Amino acid sequence: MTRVLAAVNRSMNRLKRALGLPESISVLGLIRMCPILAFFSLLILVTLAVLALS
Amino acid sequence: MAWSTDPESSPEATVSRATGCSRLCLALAGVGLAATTAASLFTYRTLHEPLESVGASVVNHLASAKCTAIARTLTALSIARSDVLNGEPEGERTEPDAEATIGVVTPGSWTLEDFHSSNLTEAQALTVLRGLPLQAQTNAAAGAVKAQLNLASPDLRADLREHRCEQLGYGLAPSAVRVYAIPGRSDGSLAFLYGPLLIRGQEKTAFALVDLNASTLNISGHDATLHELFPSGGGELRTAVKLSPPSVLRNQLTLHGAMPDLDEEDHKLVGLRVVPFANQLVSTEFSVSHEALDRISRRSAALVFLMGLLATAAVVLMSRSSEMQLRGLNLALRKESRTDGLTRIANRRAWDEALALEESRRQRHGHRYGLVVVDLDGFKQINDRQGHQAGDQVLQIAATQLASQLRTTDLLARVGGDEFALLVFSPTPKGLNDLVERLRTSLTQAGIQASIGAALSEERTTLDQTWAKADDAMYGVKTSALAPAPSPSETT
Repeated sequence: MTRVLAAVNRSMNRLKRALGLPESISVLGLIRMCPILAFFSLLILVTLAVLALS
Repeated sequence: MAWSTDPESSPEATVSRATGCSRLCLALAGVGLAATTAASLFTYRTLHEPLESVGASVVNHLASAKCTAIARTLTALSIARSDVLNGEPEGERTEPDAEATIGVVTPGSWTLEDFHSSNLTEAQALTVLRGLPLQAQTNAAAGAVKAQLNLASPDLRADLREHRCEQLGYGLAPSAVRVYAIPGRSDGSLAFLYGPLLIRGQEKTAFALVDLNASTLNISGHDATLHELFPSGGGELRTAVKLSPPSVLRNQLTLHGAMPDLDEEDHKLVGLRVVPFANQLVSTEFSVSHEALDRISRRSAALVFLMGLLATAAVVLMSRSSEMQLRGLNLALRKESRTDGLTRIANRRAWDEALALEESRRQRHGHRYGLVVVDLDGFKQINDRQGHQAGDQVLQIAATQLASQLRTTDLLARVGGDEFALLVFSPTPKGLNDLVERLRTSLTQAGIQASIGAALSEERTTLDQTWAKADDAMYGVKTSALAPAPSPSETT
């Protein structure tokens, strides 16, 4: 479990670096600095909710 | 060099670069979202209409065949007839359907034989049977049956003619199959009575109590198809069996006298003759759940939308990542193009840009700037005598010594082969002179002789005039002093 979490953390940090974002960014900072990523995340969550509830 | 002419190297610029989305990213996101939405709508439309069509065709087929209700009718009649005539169950068909109750009753003693039921107890079955006319009804007029058949629709009469049932009449005397609605029940429950027959000295009547509405979906092959389509099972396709017309079933209805040519042992023929007859008794209604059908289309469209969203997000993020990488490379290239490769201080391009920027600031805000020109003495002789490698070393040492005396707001640049220039932000005349002395001392300590001239910007002088003034001052120093050639060996 710890290894999985560490792998997820590494992947997230790699993604942040690729997008030019600092690794210690908060959720609000992510929304401010990369709104398109936040927008797509919100859309995907809403679609998953619709799929689950339909 | 602490003073930078590159506006993109500031932390604020870095944040603004990461914050904004390029037009390419926005265009990709817009196109992806539009394509995803179109694909979802297309999927919904493509699936919705065929599913509705399949549902409608299945309903039509089941409704026209009435297969489930008729199959139950035939099963009940076959079992009841076999039990009464032969006195024993009819082999494999002995077991009734889950919701059917069959058996043989002796009306005189109200005892049950061969009783099979999954939903009624013997007491409950007897309660139902006591409300039915179990005595012989051998004199039922075939004309009554024919009168009822004449009430049927033209389609039903055509169906009856096809099965030669317009000549219904059969000498099963003294037994007959009679169909009744069960008293107190308004659903599709029917009672099939066969008899009474005199068996071993006792009058007995076979009966079958069938709920035509129950579990009818498990009978037809088409239902299996629907079950594959709707794995959740029942409820997706609703079946309802109604008694029509109800008045027929309130009165006694018998097959006696209606089927004179029928072979008693020919169960199949009995079935064939009974099918249209039972069709008149019951009407089966099938309806498909449109909500369930639409749910398939909606889920499929949502799944396509989700896949499209993931793909679009991946493309947009990859585009943004490539863009950020390209911006970083451009920034490094821009910085490198303004840096002197040997001394790693600003080069002539950066110097010219910074000077023009500072001049425009002076004109707007009125503050002054100072220009310092440093020219190494005897540098050509070093190159000629000790080689260019030694000359490069002298230049690097000189740049280091000069940079060590500057504030973070000042700029040091190499503007020529052995010529350095300093841009000093808002100095006082005394501060500029002190700086010149510190620079001279620092270079001398490193064993390098240089001529240094300085000029302070004036309100009415141009940039070129200030620059020329500093240059003149430097040449004045160079010509007035006899400077010994610097030696890198002395400095190291």
